[in-house]
Amino acid sequence: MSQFRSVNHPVRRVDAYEKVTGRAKYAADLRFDGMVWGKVLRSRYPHARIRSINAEKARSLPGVLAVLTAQDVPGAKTFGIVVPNQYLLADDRVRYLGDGVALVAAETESIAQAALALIEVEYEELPGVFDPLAALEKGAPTLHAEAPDNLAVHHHVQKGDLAAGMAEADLVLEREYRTQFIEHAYIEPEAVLALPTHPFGHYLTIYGSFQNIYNIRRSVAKVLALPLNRVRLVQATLGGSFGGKDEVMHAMAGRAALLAQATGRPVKMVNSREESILESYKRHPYILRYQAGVKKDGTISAMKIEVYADAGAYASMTPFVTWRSVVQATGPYQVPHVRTDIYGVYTNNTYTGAMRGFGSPQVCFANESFMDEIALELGMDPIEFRMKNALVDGSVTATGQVLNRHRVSLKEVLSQALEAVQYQDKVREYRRFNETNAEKKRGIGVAVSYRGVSLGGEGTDAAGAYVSVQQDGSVIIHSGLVEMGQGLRTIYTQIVAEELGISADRIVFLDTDTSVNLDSGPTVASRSTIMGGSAMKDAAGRLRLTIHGVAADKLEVAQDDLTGEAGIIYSRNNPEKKITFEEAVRHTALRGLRLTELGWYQGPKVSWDEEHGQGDAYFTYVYAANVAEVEVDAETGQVEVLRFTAAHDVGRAINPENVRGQIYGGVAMALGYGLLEEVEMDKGVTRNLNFDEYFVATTMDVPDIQAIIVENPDEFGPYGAKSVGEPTLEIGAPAIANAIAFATGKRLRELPMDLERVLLGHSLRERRTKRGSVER
Amino acid sequence: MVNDFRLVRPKTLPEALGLLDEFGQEIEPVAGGTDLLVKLEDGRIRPSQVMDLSALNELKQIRLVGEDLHLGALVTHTAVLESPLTRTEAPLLVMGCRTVGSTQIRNMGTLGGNLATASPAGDSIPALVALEAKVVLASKKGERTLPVEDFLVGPGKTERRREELIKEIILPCAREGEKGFYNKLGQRNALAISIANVAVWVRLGERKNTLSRVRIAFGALAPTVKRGRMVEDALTDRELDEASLKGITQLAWKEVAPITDIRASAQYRRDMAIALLYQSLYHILFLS
Repeated sequence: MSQFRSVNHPVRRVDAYEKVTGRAKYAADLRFDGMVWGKVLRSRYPHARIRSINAEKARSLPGVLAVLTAQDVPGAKTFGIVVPNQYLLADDRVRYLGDGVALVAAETESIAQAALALIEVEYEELPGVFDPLAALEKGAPTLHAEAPDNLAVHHHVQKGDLAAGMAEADLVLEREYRTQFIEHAYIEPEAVLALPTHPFGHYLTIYGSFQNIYNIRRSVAKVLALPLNRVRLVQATLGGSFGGKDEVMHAMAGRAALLAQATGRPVKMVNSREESILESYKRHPYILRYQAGVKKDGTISAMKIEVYADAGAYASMTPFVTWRSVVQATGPYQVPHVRTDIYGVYTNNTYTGAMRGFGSPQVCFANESFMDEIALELGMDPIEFRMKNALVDGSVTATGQVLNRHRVSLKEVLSQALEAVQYQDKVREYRRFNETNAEKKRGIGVAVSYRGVSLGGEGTDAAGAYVSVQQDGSVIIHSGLVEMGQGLRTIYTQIVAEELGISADRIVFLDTDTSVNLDSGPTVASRSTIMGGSAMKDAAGRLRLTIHGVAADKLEVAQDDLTGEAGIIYSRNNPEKKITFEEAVRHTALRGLRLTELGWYQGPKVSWDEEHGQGDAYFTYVYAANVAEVEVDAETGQVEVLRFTAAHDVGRAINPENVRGQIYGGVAMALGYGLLEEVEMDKGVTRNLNFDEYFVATTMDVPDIQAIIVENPDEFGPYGAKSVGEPTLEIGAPAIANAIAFATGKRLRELPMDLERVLLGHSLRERRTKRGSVER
Repeated sequence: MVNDFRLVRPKTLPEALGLLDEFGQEIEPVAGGTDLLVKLEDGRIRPSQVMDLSALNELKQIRLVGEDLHLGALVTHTAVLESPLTRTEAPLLVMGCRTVGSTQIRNMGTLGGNLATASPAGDSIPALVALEAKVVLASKKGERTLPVEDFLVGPGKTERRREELIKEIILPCAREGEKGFYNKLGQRNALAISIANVAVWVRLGERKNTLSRVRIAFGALAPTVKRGRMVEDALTDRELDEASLKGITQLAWKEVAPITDIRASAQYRRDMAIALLYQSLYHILFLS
């Protein structure tokens, strides 16, 4: 039996009922009296100078209330968390096709739409650059004055002596891998509703589909030249985000607020799917050049890695995304000599930023494919090769960090995954199958990873929590980290229930509101459970001390003899001595003691030396192993994933069912990443703007998934919990690539591994074709 | 953005044909709406009137008439999948309809609509062509009947005149000794427009591994769904084994005229015509 009453149990999601019955209100569901509609006119070219904008015709259309351009922005023209170089509205230049040029507010959505067509913009088209390697060449068109070489960022890792390491090697292997633009494909397109400061109060209120509410608030305040306390953001129920509802929402919230101030009316903006895919940022495509020196016995002696990331038009999260890549690029292996360089490069493509994985899916695809390729060259079993080089307790990472504060469970997760699939039996079975089948080929592939938990060297890492016990013993909690489908509200509810010894149904979770919650930084980096959960535990734990203090008094027992369970506080030594939680709360209130606590948790120390490319990058790590089993149609290139097995060390599963949900969802996204998805950019023009041509995996494509939860409690997490959100999708694609290589004998080094690529080894699709030109 | 239009909803076929006779040039008939609503939303069509056919219950029937099956134009893909009549009398059509879009699209989309849209990739059409189905077009002046193959002119183009409605589709009932197979290649297992597809109908010969009649229809491989008559002839009345099948199906390369688009290249599509045809015939001859 579990030592816990609420955590570590599959408690039902606290927000499930509203969502499955359609009662939950998403941003697009909200309406206010007097509400008007806002629309954005976007660029006509991926790169152009704006010579003039004439909005007279649009302004004179009946029903149009305002047409605004960059000159109407009262505060800063640009926003951005790391490098503020993204324009709320294009000033004199457009840098990608999704750039906003003008805004319209009108009485109805269709009038607003019609007004867009009446805005006359005179452009001077500029030569664009659409490939990161071309963008780094001398004389390439440039995007930003502060980056004359188009370089958004360069990070490196330097360990040991690369030349010496390569010289020791018996085999030096070099490979290049490429990944694609990926759309988050959240089911809810972006939406906001902004109320002006007057007549609604002394502050702006913006409801919306927000992920990182504090960052968004900062940008809105900046562009409107308002102090933070006059901008209030309220998160509506969020229909998925996956890292995606950040900068695109800075722009949308800022624009809606600008229109609300200009019109004095509530302004609603809702993106269509096409607008969403066109404007919103993507996961970075990477070009990854891997070189490794390996000894005959299978020991890796050195690795040299060079990576080019397409940042698109703006910096967005590129500096941080690429930093995670540079830290984790060698994979979970002991490599004595390392040199890794990563370059984030501006182009006139759609900008790229945060997406579930955050710089890991790309390097994992390259590195874990590469490991299989090296093993093949050595004539070694790929598992044996991984085991030989795997990080273990006390190992030193590529960044020089000694892993001695947590259990390095790489071998454990790998062994558990292999055992669950009966790996060696499967290898033999599929080899036999392939000998006797010409049309179908089967394969099995493995990939592993380690992943730094939370923000690490990116910056300040702290989170808060609010827990308030009401006089009847019911509880209200809220948090500055947000629910976006990942299950945060359920996890926090369980933690508070555990600490107070009550059942989860006595707790209500308040909506997220920047003016009420504690600024806890962004809800990213799989940090909600470990950071916000620790803050909840802190607040609830202090309330327990207060309430149990009163109970001890009443029961005349020592306080440390008391425990709480199912709403009863009782003496461990003499369970007859007991008091209900409500009763204890009533007495606490009568005594005038505080029944509300703010919790806080500051992440343990990390370090990063950018000059030397070394440091204790993250305070703890998680480990994962995935196994894919596939069947390839040798005549069409179709790949069916037959089974998928995913083992994850999560420290402690606060809610095992939720952990499994994360794994299932992550694997489904990884399958799309590996086999199906690609935002096709044709010289800066997005070709597939809806889900008829951008293929996410459907339920008919996702196989049986076996989720294996491994628990090695971590000293820094609440009850030992670490994280699970992002590791679940970072190694699916390489596991599938390795399985395809087993099946067909062909190594695919570019994503997605779609039909033609699997059959012919390369894509024949032309980029310059009309959408859906078969039918029209 | 959906533009403004007048919506008319006739209660009977004569009423509908009367409206078409009067306003044929400006009126756009809508059955399930799975294609039309997308075009309206995109602004690719801007009709002044839309005629909702959903009240014409007489066009929702599946009837056995002699040796033929009559399917009303408003029969949905789901109705084809669920009707005991189609399951026994038109199993090849059932196979095609099963691969259309998703449950929601199959619930709304109709056979008549799929034909009127005339996408080369339409999943119910190859079966109709392979079965030599006929389409009945009705207008105020009367009715005319055309083979489905002739009805299709090009991508989105058909022989339907503005004053005509598709009334029904007629196909011969399946008989003893006949077999069919529909083979679709899409990017994923649901909600995927065909990259290429093929429907094969055969009558088994008296001798083992022979076919006395063969009809093949290729989808998404030419401007319209297209019969493969050269391959059909080459397959008829000869003993087939894996090797000869491999050889003959290569002819498919000459039967098709695919294009390169966002889903696939022309060259890959040609290769797939051969692969899908081979797999279908292999299934019919050696696996079923």
